[in-house]
Amino acid sequence: MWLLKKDGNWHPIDASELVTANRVTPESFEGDLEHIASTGQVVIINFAGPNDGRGFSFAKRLKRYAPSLKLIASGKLTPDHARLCFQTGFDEVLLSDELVARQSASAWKSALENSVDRTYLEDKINSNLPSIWAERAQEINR
Amino acid sequence: MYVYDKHDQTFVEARSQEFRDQVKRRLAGELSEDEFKPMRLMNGLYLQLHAYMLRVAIPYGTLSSDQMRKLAYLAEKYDRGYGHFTTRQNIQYNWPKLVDVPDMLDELAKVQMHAIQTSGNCIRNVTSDPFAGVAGDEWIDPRPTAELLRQWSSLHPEFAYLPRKFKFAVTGAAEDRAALKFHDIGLKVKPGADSEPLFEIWVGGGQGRTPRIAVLFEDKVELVDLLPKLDSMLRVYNLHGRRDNKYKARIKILIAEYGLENYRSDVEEDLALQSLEPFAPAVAEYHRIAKDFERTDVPPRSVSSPKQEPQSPGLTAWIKQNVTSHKIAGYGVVSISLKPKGGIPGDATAEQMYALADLAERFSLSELRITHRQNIVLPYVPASDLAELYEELVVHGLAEDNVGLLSDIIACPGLDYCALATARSIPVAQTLSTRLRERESREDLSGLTLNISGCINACGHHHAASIGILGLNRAETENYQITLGGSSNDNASVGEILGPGFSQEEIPAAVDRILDFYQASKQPDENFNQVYQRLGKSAFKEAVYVAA
Repeated sequence: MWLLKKDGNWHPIDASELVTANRVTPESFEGDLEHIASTGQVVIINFAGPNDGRGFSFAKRLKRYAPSLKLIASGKLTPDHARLCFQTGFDEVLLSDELVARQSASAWKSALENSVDRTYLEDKINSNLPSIWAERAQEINR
Repeated sequence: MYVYDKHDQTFVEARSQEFRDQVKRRLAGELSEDEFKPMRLMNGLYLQLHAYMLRVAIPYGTLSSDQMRKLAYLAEKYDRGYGHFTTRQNIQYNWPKLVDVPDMLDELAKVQMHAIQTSGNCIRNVTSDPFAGVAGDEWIDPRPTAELLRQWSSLHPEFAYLPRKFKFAVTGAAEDRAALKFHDIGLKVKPGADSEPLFEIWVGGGQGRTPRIAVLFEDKVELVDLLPKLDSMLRVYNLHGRRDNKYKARIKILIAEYGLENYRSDVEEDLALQSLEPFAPAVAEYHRIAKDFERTDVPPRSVSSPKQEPQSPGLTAWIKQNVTSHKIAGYGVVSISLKPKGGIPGDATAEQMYALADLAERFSLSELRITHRQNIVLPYVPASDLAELYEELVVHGLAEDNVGLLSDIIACPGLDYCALATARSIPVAQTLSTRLRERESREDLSGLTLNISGCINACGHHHAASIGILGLNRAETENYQITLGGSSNDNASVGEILGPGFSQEEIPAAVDRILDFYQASKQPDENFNQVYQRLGKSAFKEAVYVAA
């Protein structure tokens, strides 16, 4: 298994390192945030499929509720999901060996490098860049 | 018109570059078609029956002469010399090659255009009133709101993989010219205190196999609260919308099954968790955008025209049918029909698009609009130039005087192009338009609409027409179901299925019988839907089926 970081770097990880993480699935999204936030400092949110975007909204809510939680995305992701993960509150993306083997390291790197890294309305939780709107506001105030 | 600043420009160029990389990986086999599909769809690229189809966004239906010229160039260079304007104010190219699409996007970016989110399960191109900014009945220009929504929703990281597509419409006038209540969310903008906009939010409208009229979610929402509220509305939908059945995945089903009050309560709960800080610039953004839409370059025109030359009957009919009064005296709003007799609704050749760009430059301050009824509007034509404009339109085959008549038919591409279609729409529209134009020369067929869809997805808005035609496949044969009494205006209604379907050959006669019965039954000043509501389905059914 591999962990992809926001800066595009990644490193192998032993599954035992995540044994204490709280794993949640789309079904548990119905559960209350307090319970999930109280059961550990690391939460792995599983994406049921590449077209299922519930994990993005759930991460956003959870990070709002408990900003200190470390959120890891896992499941059926493609390289192009990485940007969305980091912009919605995830700290890392967990990639299976199979996923890395099928979609090369260069594909993940290329997707991150070529993704649109700034939107109009970004959440500052995970962004090093100001949003377009925030930058415009700064320009007006200068 | 809204003009991109350096940030907007960088954004569309970056998106184009991103898609170029995705196409490269697809062509290299690094992405499977299944993986590539949502990426290409989010950039408006479909795989249709014969080829890829690229749908280009025309945000809120407003474009400049230069932009129209670019659309013409794309049709000429990458398509087969034409484009198709859609019911959501976009344009579709039916024959591009995958390898060319990144170049097409680069060309679009040069004129501040893109194909972002014109398809896929995300927030689609925001539609609006094609008469925005020039209509006499307008309270407030809806386009600054639409542009604000475009920016907020563009590549919104949370809402790229919603349960299904999500459509917004914004209006700001007494008359609904954008089918607002058939949208997932419709915003009606009215002026509040100090002329700041106040919003009515309507939710849960839609067509498809389960047509629904939107219900009022909240009224008098202030500008500062608008985006946080919409953000929460989308988040609750993203988390709770059904994903087990694509036909039950739209927000209209969530509202129907979960209940408006439960939905509203979840939105309020989510709002309480929201940080409002990212939304803080939105009010200033709205006002920055609104300034771009204030046209200060409209020269005053004399209201009393000098001695008029005698008008030809053609010009008189065209002015009566295709020119609407303008909020500025001395100007007219000109609608140009893309529904010539026997033609394909919404299609324009590259030559016609070049001509429209030139005519907009000469006669309409270089501005054009696309309507949801698949026509073109020149919004700033001096009344004194109407005759000259008309003569030019005649030369280019664009002077059909049928805007607002029954032959002003909406039709989707149907089985001639679309991979989802179950029957052809285009030949039905062509036959009907020929027949109806002949009727219209003898009788008044204004105030009725006729829309045709080639499948239950209802891209041709058949539910929302006085006479709707839905093409189906029954035992491997095209069969056309008729619905009556639909409307997309402020009193929106869903048409009722009249009875068993007809073959393609039987449809014209069936429509004739409907019209014969309507003309024989109507009272003075009564329109089609009023007659239908007064007499009921059974009377029309008898006229159509028993008479046959």
